Amino acid sequence: MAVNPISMTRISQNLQSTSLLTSLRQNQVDLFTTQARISSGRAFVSPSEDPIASARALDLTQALGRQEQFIANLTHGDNVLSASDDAITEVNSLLIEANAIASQNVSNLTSAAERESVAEVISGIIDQLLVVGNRQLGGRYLFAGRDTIEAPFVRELGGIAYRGDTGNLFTRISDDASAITNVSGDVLFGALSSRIASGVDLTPSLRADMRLDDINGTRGQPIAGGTLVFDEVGGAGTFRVDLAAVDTLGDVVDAINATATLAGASVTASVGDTGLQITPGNQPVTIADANAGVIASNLGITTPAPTTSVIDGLPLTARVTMLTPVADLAQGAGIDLTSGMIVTNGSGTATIDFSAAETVQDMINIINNAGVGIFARINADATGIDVFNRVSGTALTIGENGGTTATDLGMRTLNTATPLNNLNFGRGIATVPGEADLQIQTQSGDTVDVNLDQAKTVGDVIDLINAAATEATVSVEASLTDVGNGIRIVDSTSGSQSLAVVALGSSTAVFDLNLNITEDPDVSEIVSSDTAPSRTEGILGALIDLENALRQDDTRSLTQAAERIDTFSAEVNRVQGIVGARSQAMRAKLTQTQDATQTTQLFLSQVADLDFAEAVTRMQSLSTQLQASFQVGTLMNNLSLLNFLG
Amino acid sequence: MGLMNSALQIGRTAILSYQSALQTVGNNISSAASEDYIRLSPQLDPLQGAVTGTLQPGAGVALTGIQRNIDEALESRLRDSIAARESGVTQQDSLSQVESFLDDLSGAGLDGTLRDFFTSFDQLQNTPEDRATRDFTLSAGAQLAESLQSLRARFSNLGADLDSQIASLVTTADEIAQKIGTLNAEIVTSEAGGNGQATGLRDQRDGLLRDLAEIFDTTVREQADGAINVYIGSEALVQGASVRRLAAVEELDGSFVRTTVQFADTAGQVEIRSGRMQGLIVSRDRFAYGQVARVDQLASAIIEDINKIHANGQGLISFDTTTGANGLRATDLALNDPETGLSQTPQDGSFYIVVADDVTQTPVATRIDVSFSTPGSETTLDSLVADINAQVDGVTASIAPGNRLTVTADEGFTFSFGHDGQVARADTSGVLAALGVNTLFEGTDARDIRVSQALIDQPLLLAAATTNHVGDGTNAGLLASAETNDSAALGGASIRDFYNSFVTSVAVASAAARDDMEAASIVHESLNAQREGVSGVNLDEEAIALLKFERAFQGVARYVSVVDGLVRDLVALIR
Repeated sequence: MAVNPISMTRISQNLQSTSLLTSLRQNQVDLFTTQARISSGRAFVSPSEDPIASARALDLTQALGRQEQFIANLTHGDNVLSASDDAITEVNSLLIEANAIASQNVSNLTSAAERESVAEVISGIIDQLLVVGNRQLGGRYLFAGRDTIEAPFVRELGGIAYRGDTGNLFTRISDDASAITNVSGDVLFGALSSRIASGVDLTPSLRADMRLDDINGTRGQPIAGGTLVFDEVGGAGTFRVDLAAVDTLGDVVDAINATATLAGASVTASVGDTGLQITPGNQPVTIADANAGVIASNLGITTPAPTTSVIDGLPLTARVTMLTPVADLAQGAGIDLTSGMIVTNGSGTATIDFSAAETVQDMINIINNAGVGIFARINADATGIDVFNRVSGTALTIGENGGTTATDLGMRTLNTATPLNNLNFGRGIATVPGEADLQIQTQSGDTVDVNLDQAKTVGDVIDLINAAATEATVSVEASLTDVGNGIRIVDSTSGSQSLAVVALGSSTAVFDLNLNITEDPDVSEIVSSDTAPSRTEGILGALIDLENALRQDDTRSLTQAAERIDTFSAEVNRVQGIVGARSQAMRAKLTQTQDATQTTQLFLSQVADLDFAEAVTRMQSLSTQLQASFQVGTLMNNLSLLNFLG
Repeated sequence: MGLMNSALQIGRTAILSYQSALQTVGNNISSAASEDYIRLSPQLDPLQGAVTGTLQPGAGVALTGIQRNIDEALESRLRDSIAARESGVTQQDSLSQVESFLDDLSGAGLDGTLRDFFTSFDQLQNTPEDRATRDFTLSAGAQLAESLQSLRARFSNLGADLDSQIASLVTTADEIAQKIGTLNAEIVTSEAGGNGQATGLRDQRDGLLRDLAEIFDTTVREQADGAINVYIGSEALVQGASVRRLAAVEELDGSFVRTTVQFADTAGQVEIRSGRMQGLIVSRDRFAYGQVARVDQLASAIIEDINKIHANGQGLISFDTTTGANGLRATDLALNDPETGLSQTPQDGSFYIVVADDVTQTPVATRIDVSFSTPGSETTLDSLVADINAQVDGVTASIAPGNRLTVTADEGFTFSFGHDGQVARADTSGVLAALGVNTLFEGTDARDIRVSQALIDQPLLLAAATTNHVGDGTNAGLLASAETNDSAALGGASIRDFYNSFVTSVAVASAAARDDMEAASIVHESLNAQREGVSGVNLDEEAIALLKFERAFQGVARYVSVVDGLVRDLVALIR
């Protein structure tokens, strides 16, 4: 309403009319605003009517929009996980069927013909598992990892190859959290072999041009940016080196040197063989992290006290990357890359030749393109290269091709460090305690008895054979073979007998080592086959083994296959548990988000929606006010002394 | 007693006085509805008559003056309040328009398009291999670009509109000043020689002064001869009859036209602190052109943040060829040199190119280093092209027209960025995004933001993945969270926060402007009521005056008639 001071001496004609006009105008504006609020149902029509509430309403509307999207994401994730869960349930019932068949046929009572026909049933179960493994939802393969548009399971090399990916799919479930929405086929079916990796550390030489995220600092993690605090005591004093945007180790050195020069300090930095090197000038120097920073300690260059001697940074560990030059691998220790290696997987064999490889990526590409169902990748710690058998039902062996390539790279399946327990797919070897387990019979007719009781690794077996030969003064030498993989026994004696390795007593060690070989009379060398091949540890492999065992009427293998099916069924159950838990978490989050959405809507309604009762009352009082203004205004304007003049 | 001379003379002057007084009342009554009119009061003073014997009976009454009821100090304050009110009204008008541009409550603002754009990346993360989702994401991007462009256009059009109002207002002010000058001259002439105040002319002039006060704040000084001087700030606009001309001069400031108000003779700026002109200038500079800068800042941040993430990602297919969207002024400049004209500045770092053959898809990665730390050998577009050609097999880099980077795969090969064949490898130099290679948006700000033509032509290149797996939606997830993540381009605020504070600041400014305007109006109304109290006409008052003068006139007329009777009686004695 117009506010005119009442303390006026004269009321002019103009004032009366403008004052009436002003009050009418204001009254009508208020009425219009109230009417707009009522017809829109909003507490304010334009944000400026209530800037604080409108800012809050904007926030809430946005929160609501995001929550709705998170609900869509959660529903998507739940759909995928439910479909996966259903598929795993099918896998489980197929496994129960297979398990029943296996246990029924383990006994010696079933005939070969019966087993043959049951093998067909198992084959059918495998086919059905393949169908489940290649299950699609909305055109995407459920169990293919991130390679969602290609069927992950294909028959290959006499087994079933997993062509999918091992990665996970994610969906955003809140502003700062994502959830996994899948389980990949390799996890569900155990469709990849455990990695072939020995203790060989391929950590490359440290180079100045390495990115910081390609170097593990002294804290064991890739180095991230930060700030170094230098103090040149008695010299330039404290100065900070900003490493937030540096890329490589060389950039760190450049940044330190540039900042030091700028600060008038005489300290210099360089890249040493294993880490950073900081050389103080004439004044003592300390190096520390900025508050809550870790980069100085991660680079291993913090100093406990001012020093004038050269600060040798703690060793940094370069990570193996795709671009690591092969010559730098294992600190440039000289890996034999000219000989190559021989890989056998099921029915496929390939000689892998690394002579053209310049980088790790070249090597990995050569392995991946070998066409024998294997693939390689840099391991999670980035210290070496892992090789996997992707075919279920085949055995993978990697051996030498006349050199030491496979050993140097840690890819040789049977090597001196291989524990005997790992042989024969974990069955190990059986020795008779206190007695010699095997006997080597030479061409000259000499014999060497070897007791393997003390052997823990393949290397131990070789050492024990050589020690026994030395003790028996027989020229026999055991080693790992140069070509392919296996234990080689070379007979340097001469004579007309046949070189042979035979079991002694009731020991089966010679069979477990695949050394039960008798050569022709003029052959002076025995080579065992690889007893430590890599295979997938999963249901597909176990079922293929079961099928083969049934077909071959091999009770021992059948028993093993039945045991493995049992083990892996439990594994499938475990995976289903994981999927179930993910799905449940997803649903719980869904309910939570839906509740949050309702709360948000409630808040929004409180902030932005009109209180109708109040608005209607206001409308009523405003219209009464307007009517009153009309009446009073007319009355006032009609009153005039002029009306009474004669 | 001199009947003929004195007594009739008393009647004569009184009749003439009351006639004039009645005329004044008539003038008051008939001007009662005029806003500019100043109430007049007749001044009736008694006359000194001749000495009759020892007594002085007086000589009646005479109209000695007509007074304008005006309080000059009040008028001056009133003019200031008019200027303040007009400034407030003008600003509030502009702000309510600005508010309507950003009205998210009714869906006019950017809120909805921003949300659609960012949530479309969530969908993309869920089903990155789906083409329809890609099309949807790209159309949400196009919609956002269009909304930003049209929002910018609305602000800049509002600015241009306000600017043209400034120009026409200058003309109006100039005309008013001219008229005041003319009236000054007329008033001086009219009042010369003690003719009393030229009330009508003065009323007109006071009205014009109030009109001028609506445009800008003025100071008025009356001179002894009845003329007035009008000052704006410290400079005189009107001095007596001489009036300085005002000129509206257009100045091009960047892409905006700003009209300034100048004195035509000295080309000096007119100091304007209040009034509609000031309201228009503030509205234009702060609420229109000023917001254009904020829309541009928002658009630049979206372009920069989204492109940085996108440049590190993978589409469903790799590139056969790609050409950067952003050209350079010269190819031999260091890429971090502002002279290049790039809106984003690359830094020391490196990026990965992965070349794969079509048959086996075997990836071969190469890291290209970008360095600006050694003066004289900084990375330039020329050196970048040379590095790519020297280090990467299977692709050829070259410079496209407009100094843009082009990379083309050899026959039988394709290439991609941002990974090494196994894991994601971000471009730590930012050079790809800066050159507009593998980016989602093209352009530099809200003026020219648009979805990259390459993506419109081939939506499969939309980079949802960080690695070379079709189902990988990690990059889409990163793009979705760019909405709420801190943005370096916005000084640490997120895109969402920046937009919200933009909208809220407009609402707050608008609310404040309305409050200011209402306060100024109340001050003005109160001053106006005071002025009306002094200068306004009250009809009842005038009716009473009318009666009073009528009765007095009637009395005097009767008196003259009596005197006339007396004279006739005397003349009869002579017969």
